[in-house]
Parts: sequence; C-alpha cells; structure tokens
Amino acid sequence: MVEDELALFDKSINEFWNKFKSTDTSCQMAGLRDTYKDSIKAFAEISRQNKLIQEKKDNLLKLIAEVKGKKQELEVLTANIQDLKEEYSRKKETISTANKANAERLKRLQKSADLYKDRLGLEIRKIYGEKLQFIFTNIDPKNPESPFMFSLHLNEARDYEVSDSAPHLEGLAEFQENVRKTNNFSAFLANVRKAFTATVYN
Amino acid sequence: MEKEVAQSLLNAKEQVHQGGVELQQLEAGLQEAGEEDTRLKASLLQLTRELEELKEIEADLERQEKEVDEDTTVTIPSAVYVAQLYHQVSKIEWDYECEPGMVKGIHHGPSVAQPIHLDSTQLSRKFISDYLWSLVDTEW
Repeated sequence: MVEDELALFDKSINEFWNKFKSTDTSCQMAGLRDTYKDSIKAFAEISRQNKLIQEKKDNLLKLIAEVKGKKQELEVLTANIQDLKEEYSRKKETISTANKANAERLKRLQKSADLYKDRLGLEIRKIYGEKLQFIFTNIDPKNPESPFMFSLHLNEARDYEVSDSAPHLEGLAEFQENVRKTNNFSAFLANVRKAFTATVYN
Repeated sequence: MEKEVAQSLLNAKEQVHQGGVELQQLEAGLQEAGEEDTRLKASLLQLTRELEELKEIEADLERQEKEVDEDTTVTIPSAVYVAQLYHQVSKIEWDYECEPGMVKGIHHGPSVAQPIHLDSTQLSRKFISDYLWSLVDTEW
C-alpha cells in the first residue's frame, strides 16, 4: 500500500513540476492547489503510518517483555528440576542402602529364629490383641508335628496372663502364678513343655 | 511558495518511505519475537510435564521411605524381640558357622557353660528338642 502511495506522490510531483514549468499563473495556482491537496493526503497517510508504527512498537515491546518473562521462568524451572533430580537421586541412594542393611539384618534374625524354632521345636508368634502365641512341636513321639500351644499377654495390671491353651493344661494356672512371682520365663516355658509332654504319655 | 510546496511534498514522500521501512523492520521483529515466544512456550510446557513426572517419583520415594521406616521401627524390632526371647528362654547361643547337619552351640547355665554338639543326621528332631529343653532349668 505504501508503494502505491509513493507511486501516487511521484506522479503528483511530476505533474506539478510539469505544470509549474510550462503553464501560466492561473494554471500555476491550480497546480499549487492540487499539490496542496496531495500534500494533505500525504500527511494523512503519514499520520496513519505513524499510528500503525506506534501500535507495532507497543506490541513488540509487549512481546519482548513476555519473552523475557518466559526466559526467566524457564531458568527457574530448569534449576528447580535439577535440584529435585539431585535430591531424589540422593534419597534413592539412602533408601537403597537402608533396604540392603535391613534385609541383611532381617535375614540374620530370621536365620537365628529359624534355628531356635527347628531345634527347640518352639514357634513364637505375635498375634492379634498384643498376644504372643507359643507353639510346641516334637512333643508327641508318634506325631512330632502335632502342635501344643498357648497364648500369653500382659494384662492391664502388667501381669503375665495365659489363655487359649490347646490341649488344655491343668497346671497352667499354677505356672502362671509362679512366673508372675518369679518372672522366670525360662522355667515357665520349660515347665509348660514338660506338662504338655506328660499329657501325651497319660 | 511553489518551491516550499514541492519541497513539502518531497519530504512527505521521503517520510512515507521511511515509515514503510520502519514498519517492515517492526514486522520482522514481531515475527522473530513471536517465534521465540512460541519456542519458549513449548519448552515451558515440556519442563512442566517433567516436573509432574518428578512429582510422581517423589510420591514413590515417599512410599519407599515409609516401607524402610516400617522395617526399621516395626519389623526389625519385632524380629529382634523374638530372637532375644528365644535366647533368653533357652540360654543357648548357636554356632552359625558349623558344618551343615550339625547342631552346635553353647548353653549358658547358671554356673557352667555347657557346649552343645549334636549330629542332626543321626538323631531325631524330637530327641534334639528333648535334649535341648533338658538343659533348661525347671526350678523357679
């Protein structure tokens, strides 16, 4: 569009010049008037252009500011992500080390418990209600796998309390009293086992 | 006056031309900035996605940490308690390095420490259990 305008101006100027050169005063006056008209058109065009230029300048400044903002945001995000990645890497390492150590420890503890369980023929289990269950095997020579069990917990008075013996043991209440008095849990279990064994031979 | 008018027209022509050039430059600048803006938008979107993925990793790590915590505070202490209970009750300490098939250890009696050495390949399980329990004092 600007090119069109320029072409127009060229034409105007040429026309004016030709008129100016070759005609008399009245023609010159007419020529001047036309030229003034063209000038006004030209200035209108300049004004329009300037408005457009200002508009585009404003848009460009806005866009540049947005770009700057995004660049900063990008920088922050990148740094943030990097920090998180490093943190997670460290955490992963820590977790891995802890898991390894825990697994080792549990393995050793389990091995130890298994040896006791197999050799003593006694399984100790934690069950619901904060109770411990003791299961003896290798009691009945005819059925070594046959279980002889009872449960134990600490009651509200923090005393040993036995329950759920299978098979039923006559002397269990007495043993309970003794262990409450002496706190000799070792003797308690040895006596319970002896009593269970006696039930088989009777 | 004709000269002034002609000059004025020439100046106007020049100004329009300059204006046209400036508009072209601005247009090019807007184009470039626009493209950069689009690229940055895409980069930001990608990083935002990456951040979301990291959040999932964080949640997973938290879960793993909880499991480790449970092992450390519940599972292991529980296993330690049971192992210690066996040890306390039987007063027996095993030799974990002995040959397979052998039952080897020490029973820490009230006055004497007694070695244990049984061949489980030659003895029944009941015999071994009975023997080991016979070492445990029934006296209250």
